[in-house]
Amino acid sequence: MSDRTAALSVGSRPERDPFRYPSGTTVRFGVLVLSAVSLGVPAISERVASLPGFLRGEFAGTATRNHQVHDCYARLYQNGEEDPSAFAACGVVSPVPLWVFAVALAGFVVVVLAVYWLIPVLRVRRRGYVAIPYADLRAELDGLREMAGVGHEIRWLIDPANPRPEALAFGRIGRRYIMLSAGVVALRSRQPAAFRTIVLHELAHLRNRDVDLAYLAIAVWRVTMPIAALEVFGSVFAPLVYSSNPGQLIAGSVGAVQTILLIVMVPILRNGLLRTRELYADARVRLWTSSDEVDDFFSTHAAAAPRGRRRRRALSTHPDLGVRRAALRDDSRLFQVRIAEAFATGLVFGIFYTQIIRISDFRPNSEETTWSFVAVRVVAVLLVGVWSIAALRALQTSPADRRGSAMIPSAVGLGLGWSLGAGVLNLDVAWNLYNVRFGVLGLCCWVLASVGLAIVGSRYVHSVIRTWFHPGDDSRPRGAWLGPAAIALGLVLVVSGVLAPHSISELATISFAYAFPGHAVIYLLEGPIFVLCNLLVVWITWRSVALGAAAWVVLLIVNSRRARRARALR
Amino acid sequence: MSAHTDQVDALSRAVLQKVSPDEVAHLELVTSSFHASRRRQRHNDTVDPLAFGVEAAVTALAPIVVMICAKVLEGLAEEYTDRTARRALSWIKRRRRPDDAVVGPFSAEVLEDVEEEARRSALASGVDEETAAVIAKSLVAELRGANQTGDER
Repeated sequence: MSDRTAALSVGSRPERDPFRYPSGTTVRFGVLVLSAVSLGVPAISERVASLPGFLRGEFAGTATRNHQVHDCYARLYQNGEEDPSAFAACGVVSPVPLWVFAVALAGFVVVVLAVYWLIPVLRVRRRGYVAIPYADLRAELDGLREMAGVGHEIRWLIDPANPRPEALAFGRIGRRYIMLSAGVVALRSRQPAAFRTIVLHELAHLRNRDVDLAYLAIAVWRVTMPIAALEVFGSVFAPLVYSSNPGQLIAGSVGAVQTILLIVMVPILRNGLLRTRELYADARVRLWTSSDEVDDFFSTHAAAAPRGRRRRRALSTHPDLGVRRAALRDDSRLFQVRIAEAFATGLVFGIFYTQIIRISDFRPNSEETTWSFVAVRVVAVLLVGVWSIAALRALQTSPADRRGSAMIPSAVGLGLGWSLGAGVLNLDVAWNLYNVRFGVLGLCCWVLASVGLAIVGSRYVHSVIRTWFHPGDDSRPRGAWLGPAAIALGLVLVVSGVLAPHSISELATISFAYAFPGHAVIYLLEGPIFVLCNLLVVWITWRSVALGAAAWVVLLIVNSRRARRARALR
Repeated sequence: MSAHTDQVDALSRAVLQKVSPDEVAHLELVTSSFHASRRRQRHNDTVDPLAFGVEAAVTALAPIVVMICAKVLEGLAEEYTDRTARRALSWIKRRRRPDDAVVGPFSAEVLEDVEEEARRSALASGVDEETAAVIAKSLVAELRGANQTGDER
C-alpha cells in the first residue's frame, strides 16, 4: 500500500456506525419490492386465470360470475336476509387459484432477474464505454480499490465522449464495472483530490453492496410499469361493465385508487432508494478520507454547476448538494426513519395484505379466511422487523432515550399508512361498508387501535432491543438474540390479532346496542396489556434468554385464550 | 477511416494542442469513440440518473473540441456540396454525411461564420465564455493556416 493510500485509510471513525445495521437503502428496497409485487403479481395472475375462459370464448367468464355473486350477496343484505342457505344459493366467488399466483410470482421474478442481468451489458454497448487503456491509471485505480476493501475484480471503463466529471458503479453479481468519464480522467492531473473523491464514492457503492439493490430496483420498475398501465384501466372499468351494485362500484373505485397509489409509489420509492444510497456512499467516503475532501469537492463543483437542470426532489435520483453536505456534517439523517417513509411503508404493507387475501374466496362481513390469517401474520413479522431496524438505528443516535420517544412520529406514520392500505383501501372493507353497513365507527376504532398499537409496539421493541443490545458493544454472548427473537414472535401474534382488518366487524359491536358493551374496550386494551406485561418480564430478566422464551410461551397461552374468547363472543 | 474523419482528427489535435495540451494524449480514444457513436447514430448527451450526481461544469475539453471540429467541417462540406452539385441531386447529397475532406480556401465571411458557430456550440456544451472564445479562435486560425498553405500551393 502506498503512503498516500495508507494515509487515506487512517480516516477518523465515528462513534456511531451507519453501516452496522440494515440501512435505509435496504428497508426502502424491501418496501419497493413489496409494492411492485402487490401491483404486478395479482394483475398477471388475473389475466392468466381468465385465459382459459377467454380461449373458450367466454370473454368475461369468471369476472362476470364473481360480480353476479357479489350483487346477490348485496341484495340479500339489503333485504335483511339472515338465512345462510339463501347466501349459499348465490354461489361462491371464485378466487384466483393459488398455483396461478405462484406461477405469476415466479414469472415476475424471472423477468426482473433477466432485466437485471442484461442492464450492464446493454449499458456498456449503448453508451459506448470502453476499457481504460492506460496502465498507470488502472494501477492507481486498483490501489484505491484495495484501500476501499473491495475484494472482487472491477472492470474499469471510460466514457471518452463525456466532458463532465461523471462516474458510475454498475454491473451484476460476478461482474462489476466502474465507468469514469473523460471529465473525471482529466481531473486526475488537475485536481487529484477531486478525482480520488469521485472514484472512492463509486467504490463506496460497491463496498455498501447497494449496486445490486439499485439495479434490481430499476429492473423492478421497468417490469412493473407496463403491467400497471394495463391494470389501472381494468380495475376502473371492470366494475362499471359487470355490476350495477353501488357497493361493487365503490369497491372497484377503491381498487383503482389502490392501483394508482402503487403506480405513484413505485417510482417515488425507487428514487428514494437511489437518493439514500448516495448519502451512505458519501458517509463511507467520509470514513476513508482523513480530510473534508468530499465537502470540498461539493462546495467547489456546486458553484460551477450549470443552472436550470434541477428536478423536483421527490423525482430526482440524487439528493440536493445541500442535503449531501448537511449529511456529511451531521450523520443523524442516516439513522432517522421519517414519518413520510414510515407512512409509505405502512401503506405498502397494507396493500400487500389486501393482495394476499385475494387468494382466498370472498366472505361477506369480512370474516377471517385461511389466507387473511396468513397475510396478517406475514405483515406482523414485517412490521416487527421494521420496528427493530428503526429501534436499532434510534438507539445508535440516542442511547440515553429510555422510552423510545424518537420513534413515535414514525410509529404514527406506520399505523396511519397501514390503516389506509389495509382498511380504507381494502376492497372487501369498502364493499362491506356499503352493503353490510357494519359501521364506519368500527373502521374508525380499528384505525385508532392500529395507530395506538404501532406506538405501543414500537416503544416495546425499542425497550427490548435496548435491554438486549448495546450499540457499539460486541461483548454480548452468541445466542443472545434468542430472547428478543422469542419475544418478537410473541409480539407478532399479539400484533396480528389487533391489526387484522376482519376485526373491524368485531369492533363494530360498539355500534350495536345488543352486543356485549365491554367487548370492544377489552379488545382494544388486550394488546397493550399483554405488551406491558411482557415489558415487565423483559425488564426483570434482561439478561436471561430462558425467561425471554418463557415470556413467549406466556404470550402464546394468553393469545390462544383471547382467540377462544373472541370465538365465544361471535 | 474516411478522409473526413482524418481531417476531423487532425483539426481536433491542432486545436486541442492550443487550448488544452495535456488532453492530447487521450485524443485518439476520444475521436475513435466519437466516430463510433456517429456510426451507431447515437448521441450520448443524456445525464445518467445513477451517475455520481453532481452536475458539475465541464472539465475535459477534448470531447467538445472533437464535436465542434466535426460539426464545422460537416457544415463546410455541405456548403461545398450545395455549390457544386446539380439541383436534382442536391437533396440526396445534403442528407448524406460527407466522406471527403473539405478543401479551402475559405472566404473571410465563411471563417467569421465558423467562429461564431464554434463559439455558440462550445457555450451550449457547458464551456465558459472565455474558453469558448479560445476554442473558436484556435479553430479559425487552423482553417486560415490551411488557406494560406493552399494559396502557396
